[in-house]
Amino acid sequence: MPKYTLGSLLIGIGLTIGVIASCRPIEHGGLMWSYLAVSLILMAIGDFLLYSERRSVLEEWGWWAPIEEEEVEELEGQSEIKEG
Amino acid sequence: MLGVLVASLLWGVVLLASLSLVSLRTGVSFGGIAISAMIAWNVVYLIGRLYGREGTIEDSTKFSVISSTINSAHIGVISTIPAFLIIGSDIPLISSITVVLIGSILGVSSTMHLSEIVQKYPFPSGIGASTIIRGAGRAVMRAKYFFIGFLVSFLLTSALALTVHSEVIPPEIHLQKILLHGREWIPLTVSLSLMALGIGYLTGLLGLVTLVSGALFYLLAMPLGITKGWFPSEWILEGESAQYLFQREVAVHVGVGILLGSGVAGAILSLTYFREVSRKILSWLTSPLVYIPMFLSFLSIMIVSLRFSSAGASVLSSILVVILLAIALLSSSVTLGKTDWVPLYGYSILALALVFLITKEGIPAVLASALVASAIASSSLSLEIEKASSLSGVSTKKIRKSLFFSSIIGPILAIAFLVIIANWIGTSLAPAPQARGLASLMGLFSGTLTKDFLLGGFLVGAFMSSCGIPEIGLFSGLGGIIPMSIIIPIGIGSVLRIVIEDVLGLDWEVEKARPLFLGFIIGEGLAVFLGVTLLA
Repeated sequence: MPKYTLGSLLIGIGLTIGVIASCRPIEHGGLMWSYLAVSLILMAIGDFLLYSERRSVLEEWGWWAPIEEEEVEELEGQSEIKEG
Repeated sequence: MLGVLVASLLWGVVLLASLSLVSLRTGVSFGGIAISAMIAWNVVYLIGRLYGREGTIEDSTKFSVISSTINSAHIGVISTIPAFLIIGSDIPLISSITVVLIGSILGVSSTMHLSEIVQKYPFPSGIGASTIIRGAGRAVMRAKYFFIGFLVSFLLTSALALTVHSEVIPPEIHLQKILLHGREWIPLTVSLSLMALGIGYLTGLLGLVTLVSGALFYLLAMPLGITKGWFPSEWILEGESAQYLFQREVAVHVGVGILLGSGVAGAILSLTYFREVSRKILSWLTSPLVYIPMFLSFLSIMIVSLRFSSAGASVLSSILVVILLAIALLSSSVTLGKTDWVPLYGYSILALALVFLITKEGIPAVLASALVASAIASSSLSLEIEKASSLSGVSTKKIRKSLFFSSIIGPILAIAFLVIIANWIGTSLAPAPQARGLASLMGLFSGTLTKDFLLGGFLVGAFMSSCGIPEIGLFSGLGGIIPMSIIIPIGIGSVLRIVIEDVLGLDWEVEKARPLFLGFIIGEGLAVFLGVTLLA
């Protein structure tokens, strides 16, 4: 499984648990801290996996990734080709 | 040509009215030069024929610059100024216009010494916009699809509002009544909104994130909470109103927390780019184009703060805002250049928090966040424009006059439009998610709001966004803030994008579908804005 798939999955599970843990009203004990802690740990691992792979994630998602200087010329070249 | 100036002003006003309303309704802002450039070539061609000469790339660039600068003014205004209305105050008109105007001018002037950044980093949207501005061959087709989308959406929304439906927003279909007898509390209401469909389409997978987040709130957390006895069981008995009660009492606070957390995480991520420009800060700050508007920024925040707090607190908060402004402008320039994303909301949260914690007053705090947001919005657009115009072979000197001119008009119009629709802000028609976030933060600091829902959401949002894609947190937060009736069509729009890309190919998607769905957004946004204005 690619690192970004695993990272996204962990963040997704973390979000699910985190939303539930955050939705308990204060009169019923408020935040479910233990669940929230699990959620944040899962997301932190997911962050770690995704951050190192975010270039792939951004490309996969159709966004632009942080681009290195040497790639600028290539991109500008592409824009010329598109116009042509 | 005078015709180009008039047309660009009109187009800028249409975009501003429509997209301000869209941003207030959904929390998603559409700015940038590419949207304005969509019809630039066609307009310039038609005006050229009236004058008996051919339109030039310079005219096309000027049209795009003026209209996009006017439109983009809404981004800084809509995410901050409505916070006044949400906390139950009036908009302080003169202070708001002054502060937003100074921010807007600072944004434009401060980028004049950042040409090196424009050359060094790709600014992908700027590259994209330059191909649109120059691409005469396909411009006719793009504009055709855009106008089809615009007209269909505008006419459909207006017709529904005038005939079968008595409200200004499109009608909703209550699928739960048809599909889920006895379980009407499950929110399967779908708004017949082409705007929401377009937002989902243009944001791609981010729209799916909002759909998933909405489902987590309404289809998982709400039923679980009712089962566990966290929420009154009468909510279920009240059928459809359960979702509105859950949204008002719980989801909106958690969603706002996620929004705030992701904003702050985004600003921190952006700060990591600061070291790349830190060596330039002295030469940048010593330019009169930077230090004069910076000084005016300092003065404006100090004068407003002095009305509410001590001289010491006012001076301290103004100095800190100016320091934050300098760091934010430089680091967000690199962030935009590298990633095509701007941490505008995160820095405006930090500005609000700084001023509120020092002065304990909401008015200077919201104005400081509006100043920072306007400056970043304006500076980002200027950099994008500079990239686009340099690639189009148009001298940046020639477009700077247009840029300054429209950066003055834009904020004034943006605030005027906000005042027109002020009565709707905070309602389900215009929940103004980002501004609500700022209002909640002030409520938290002043002790009028409990921290639980907000804190949980904040931590979730901050951890989610630390993966390097802060928009995931923003779009998750929206799942708790905007109604499910809008979230479902946003999700459908995202799925359509995937299907169209796969079935019809990337070229069809970019050249035809994208302008069509953009037309959907602007058409409905304008129709609803006009409807709201007429009712006001």
